[in-house]
Order: sequence, then structure tokens, then C-alpha cells
Amino acid sequence: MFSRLEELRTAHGLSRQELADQVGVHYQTIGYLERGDYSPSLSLALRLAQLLNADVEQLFSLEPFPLSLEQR
Amino acid sequence: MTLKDRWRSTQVRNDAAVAESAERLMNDTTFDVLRTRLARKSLVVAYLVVLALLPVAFIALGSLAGLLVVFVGLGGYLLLRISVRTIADLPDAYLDERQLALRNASYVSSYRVVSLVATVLGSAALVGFIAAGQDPDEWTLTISWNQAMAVFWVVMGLVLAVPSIVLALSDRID
Repeated sequence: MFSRLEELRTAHGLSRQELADQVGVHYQTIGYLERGDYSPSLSLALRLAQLLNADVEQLFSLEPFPLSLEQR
Repeated sequence: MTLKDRWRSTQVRNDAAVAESAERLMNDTTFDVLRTRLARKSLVVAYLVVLALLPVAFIALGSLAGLLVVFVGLGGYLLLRISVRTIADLPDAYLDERQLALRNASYVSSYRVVSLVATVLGSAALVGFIAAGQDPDEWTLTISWNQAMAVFWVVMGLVLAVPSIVLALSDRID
């Protein structure tokens, strides 16, 4: 699984711990999600998307995300 | 205050203590040195060595030496639990969905490990008795108190710690 969670989290100025506290998971779980090493439940994905003002598809994907302008 | 009220108040205090302990362990960084992959694997090896030494201590050196090794094992067990943030033991309410999945997977593996160990030891004992030419109707097994203690503590130590051992050996807990 591919994830843009780190990009959106930092864009919102949140640390892993802050994001974890707000969605009710351990901060390590945020790390796993950001690396794409763990696929979240639908409920967690929706909570993250809601908190980061994004759609779930903007956060997680089965295909690699196209590079953002900053990364190019 | 009725007995029921006392029981409820004890339960509330107990739940609060578990919640506090869970919160502390989940955010603890003091023992991070125990949480590296190498440290966790070393703890598992050390714990298994202590378990192997238990029967030797009880049978060859006596009760006091056995008890001493039990306390060393208990210390090892506590460190092992800390190294995996007690994920194997905490109630569901204190774990997030990834930790719950990890804990459940570790319980399945633990069930397999304990079943395998029991099957191998049981079969070995059976084959041993048959190979020794014992008459099944006359089989008697006499063990001393120290031997009984050795068996009890090894089984106890293994069953209690297997979920934490499985977690400690997993790369999915880093």
C-alpha cells in the first residue's frame, strides 16, 4: 500500500504523536501507516482523512502516487 | 457499604491502575534500549537459557537455588514484557487496531508453539517408556518435590511468556 500520510501530516504541522492522539492510535502506528507497512481499517482511514481535510484516496492508494511538484 | 459496592469500587480502582500503567508503558521511552531488535532477541535468548537452567537448579542444587532462578526468570519475564510494551497482556481497550492485530497473531503463533512443544515432549515420554520396556499397566512415575517444582515453573514460564517471546521476535513491532 502507498501512503501520503506523512506529506499531509507535515502540511498540517502535526507531529506523529499529535496525529496519533487525535485519531486514537499509538504513535508507532502512524509511522507504519506512513511507510505503507500497515493497511488501516476503513474507520481509521476515514478518521485520518477527516482530520487532514482530505479524501481517503488522497491519503492511501494501491498504486504509487505521482510525485508532487516539490519532489520533482 | 455492601460487599457488592466494595467489589465495584475495587474494580474501578483496578481499572484505573491498569489504564495508568498502560498509558505509561505505551509512551515510555526510558526502556527504549530494550526495544531494539537486537535487545529483544537477546532478552528472548537469555530468558530461554534461564528456563533451561530451572530444572538443573531445582534438581541438582536444591530448592533455594531453584527459587533464585525462578526470581531471575521473573525479572527476565518483566523485561521481556516491557520490551514489547505489554501488548501481549493488555486488555483490548488499551491497544489500537494494529497492536490488536499483532497481539492476535502472536496468540495464534503461541498456541502453535505450545502445542508443538507439548506434542513433542508427550511423544518423547511415551516412546521413552515403551523403549524402556515398561508394562503400561504397571507404569508408575515417582517424582520428588523439587522435580515437580521444576516441571511446574518451566511450564508456567513458557506458557506465560510465549506471546511476548513471539512479539519480541517479530519484526512488525519495531
